[in-house]
Amino acid sequence: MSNLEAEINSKEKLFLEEISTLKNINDLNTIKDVYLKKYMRVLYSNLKTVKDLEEKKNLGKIINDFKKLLELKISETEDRFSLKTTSSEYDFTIRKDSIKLGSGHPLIKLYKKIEEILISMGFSVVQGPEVELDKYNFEMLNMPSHHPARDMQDTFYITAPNVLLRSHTSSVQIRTMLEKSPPIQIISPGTVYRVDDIDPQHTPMFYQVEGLMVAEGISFANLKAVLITLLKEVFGESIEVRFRPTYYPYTEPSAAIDMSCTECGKRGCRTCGYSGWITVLGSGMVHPNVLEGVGYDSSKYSGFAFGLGLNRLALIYYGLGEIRKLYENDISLWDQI
Amino acid sequence: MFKFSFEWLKSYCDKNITPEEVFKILNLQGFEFQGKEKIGSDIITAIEVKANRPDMLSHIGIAREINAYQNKSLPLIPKALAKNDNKKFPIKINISDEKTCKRFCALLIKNVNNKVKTPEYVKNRLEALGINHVNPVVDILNYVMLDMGQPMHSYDIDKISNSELNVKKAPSNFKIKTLGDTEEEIREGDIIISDKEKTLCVAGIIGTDAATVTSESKDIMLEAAVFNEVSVRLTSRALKISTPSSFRFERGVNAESSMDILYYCAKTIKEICGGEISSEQFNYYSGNQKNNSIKLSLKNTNSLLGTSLNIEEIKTYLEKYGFACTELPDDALEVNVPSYRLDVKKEVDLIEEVARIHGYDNIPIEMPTIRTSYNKNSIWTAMDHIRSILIGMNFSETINYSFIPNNTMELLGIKDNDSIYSNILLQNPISNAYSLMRPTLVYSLINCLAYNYSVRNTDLAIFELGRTYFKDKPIDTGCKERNTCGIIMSGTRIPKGWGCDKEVKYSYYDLLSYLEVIMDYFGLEFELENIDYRFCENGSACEILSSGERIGFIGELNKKCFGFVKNVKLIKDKIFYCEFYIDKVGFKSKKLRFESKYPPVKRLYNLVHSKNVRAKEIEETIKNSSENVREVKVKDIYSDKNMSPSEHAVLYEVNYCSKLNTLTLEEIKNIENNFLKALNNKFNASLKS
Repeated sequence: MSNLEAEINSKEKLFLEEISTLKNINDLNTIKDVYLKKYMRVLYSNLKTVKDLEEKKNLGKIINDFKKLLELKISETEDRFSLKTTSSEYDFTIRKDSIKLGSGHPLIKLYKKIEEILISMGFSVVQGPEVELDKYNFEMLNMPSHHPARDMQDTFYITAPNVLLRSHTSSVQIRTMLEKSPPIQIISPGTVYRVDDIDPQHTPMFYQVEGLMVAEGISFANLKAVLITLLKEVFGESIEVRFRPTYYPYTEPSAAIDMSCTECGKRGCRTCGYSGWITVLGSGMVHPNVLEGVGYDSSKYSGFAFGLGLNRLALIYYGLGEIRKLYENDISLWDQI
Repeated sequence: MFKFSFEWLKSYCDKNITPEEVFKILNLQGFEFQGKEKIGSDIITAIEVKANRPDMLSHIGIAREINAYQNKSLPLIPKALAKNDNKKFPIKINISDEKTCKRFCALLIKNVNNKVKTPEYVKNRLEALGINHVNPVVDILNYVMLDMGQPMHSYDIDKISNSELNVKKAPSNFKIKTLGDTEEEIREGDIIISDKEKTLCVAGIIGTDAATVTSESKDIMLEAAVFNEVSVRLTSRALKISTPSSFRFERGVNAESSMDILYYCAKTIKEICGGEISSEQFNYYSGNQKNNSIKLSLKNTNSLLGTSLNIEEIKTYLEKYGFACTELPDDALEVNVPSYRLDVKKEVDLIEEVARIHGYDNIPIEMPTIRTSYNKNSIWTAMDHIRSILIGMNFSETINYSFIPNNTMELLGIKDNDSIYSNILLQNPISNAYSLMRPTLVYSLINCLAYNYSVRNTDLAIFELGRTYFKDKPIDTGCKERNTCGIIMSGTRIPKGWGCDKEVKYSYYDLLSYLEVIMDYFGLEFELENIDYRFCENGSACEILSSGERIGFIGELNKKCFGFVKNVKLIKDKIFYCEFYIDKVGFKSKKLRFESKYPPVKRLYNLVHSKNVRAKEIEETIKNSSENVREVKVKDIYSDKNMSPSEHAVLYEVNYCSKLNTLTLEEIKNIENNFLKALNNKFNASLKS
């Protein structure tokens, strides 16, 4: 062992002792200065004086190993003292409440989910007036005056009997069909009105979306396919859908569409009135009287229509207890969804 | 809704049938189960019967549906002995016309003893189904109605003067006393049954005391008729009296079986109260008793339903339900509709029947193929964008009632020549607080803001995308509806903390800036012009004008004017409001421009000037002073004690940049001197010392 090698060995011992007993981060700079800068300079200049190639090579390796050791230990010590790289400087559990989005209305949020699916199936959105004529809201939908089915839709009047607040958005379908010839593929979303006092479970205003598809050869099988797809997209693949006969003057055959209760999975609970099923849609094949009424040839064209009230559905979807709350607009509730 | 007794129903059905089976069958066939109640050993069940199926308002009707479903024979109504000769009938009955009364059957029973007790089962069942016990004759009439669906009425012959009855429309308005001993107004045209002197009955709805059958009655006349549906409905609505009888007449009663049921009823009365059924019958039937037969094509059925049924299957289905079918050569059926199925009039009604019997769940599922063109709805899209922009800027969405208090215009001092005035009122509002179709969203939104303050949601910015309503004669409804966006804000926008020494409140300038952001998104240029709205603070109200057209307004709301809004006092800060119509959008085409490769220089100038000088004027002057001024922005506005009250300090940031070189300090100094001099001359604006 050369002298130099022995010296490095003893320096190494000294260094290790000094650095392990280091108390102050400032002393580290002294150590860095003494060993890494000054002593290394000395070692390299010594190395230059060695003539024997074999010895030079050997010594060079020892010096480099020593340098690596120095760097490693110094860096470890820096880490020990440094505040920069530890988690103590930032508390990642904190958020500023001033940076956030506003909240959307639950009815609109739910509607938009439905709209997105229907638009992707090729339906276009059509709007129509809320102040409506009796002929578009009732008469042309196969509900002449004094039809008992009008009882189901207790109506607000602006000037009775002709001008009223629409009780469903089906009136938009009539207006659209009067304007355009088939094929028709539209949805009409919007607010509708029926006389009802305001209490926890009733409001005189609802949000509704109705759809209409009229073309050659449209069948009940098509109605089923479109509406099953819609419900499964909104409520998940796992729900079951069933079709029951019902009656609407403007469709025939008419179908009420139930889905298995999303709360209890058909076991029966408060949400579904212990039946396991929730009625979500009204639908049917457009009545020939309606088609003929807008000037379509009902022997050539057929179609289906459907309607969906969003208020009750929103209660189920968001687990809200009172229908009235949808129009109270307590923003702290909206913030949760 | 119809309530039925399970025990009663069972007398027509398979003896082993369970209530659960009954509910399931009815539910699947379109008669929604609405609740049940156990009374003694019986189960009373309520189902929904829609307007098209009045035949289901009787026990026999329900039994027909159940038995058909279970492939069993259908229950029948016993036939009457036909011996009618209207001329020989002891009471002269005059029917005004067939439109008023389609069928009128009458029978006499002499010497009844109406003092006997109504059998317990009749009494119990009537009570369970919500019908009051009166006396045996009346009870049995009601019982048979619930059994077979035909409403009937009875008269005490001794009380009919001159042995004459008239079924006619009331010639004028007059008052009568009905059985409930209440006075009712009969209107001209209501169908009544009267003798020579008095009104005995409001046809199909309710009787009067005049000829009513009491326990003392001996000789009685029974009536089973079918009156005009619409007329009964209108009268019942006008009188606000709905009886089990009127409920059935409104929906339709099978005229074909009136006589049979009446005869069956008379026999039942005789069994219980004794007496003699007279051999004379009165039978008026205007409807020629032709068969209701409809042709049903196989092709039409399968194409409407999307099924591949064959003619045999369809025939089996329909025959199960009492429709007699004859096969026609061209893949079609001649279908004879049973008389009680008043709803089946067209081929499509039969197709529905086939679908129902086949089972909706057995119809295949098949996506349609349809070719429609793309329809743009730019207003709807614009509203979606505005919603997203506002939510992105921390506004929350609300939906409020479209009807507001009837005196809102008055309370807010909105005059009838103001563009936000309207007087479209509901004729039947739920209350005066919900009766005016709103011409502005301001009431809705301040009301909603105040409600939120009352539930401790303070410091808010909320919006609504809703309709406003204005009178407009040329439009078919007489009403113009505008898609309107209203935004309202109050309280703290940026709270204290996180480096902000003081909380920042919502201000008028925030309102203007939010408006600018939205309008700019749609490429709508707009101007503001002061307007005098009493419900806004002095000088804050401005109309928003775009291409000369009024599209909305902004302002700071005057809280005193809104004193009538509940909880408004909880809002301590200033309230800012803006609304605009979304009936026009145009997307601005924006081109990207690379201005200069040399670095820009920003300088701040704190200028004191009169409040009458608009920042825009100062900005223009600075901009025009050199082509090297690229942009001028307002960074702050404030006033302090050292300034005159008519002045304020505005901090402008000027952005210099040249296309030719990096600007030197000297060059900037020159431009600066130029515009400062100009500002001083033009506006008496000077740098704050």
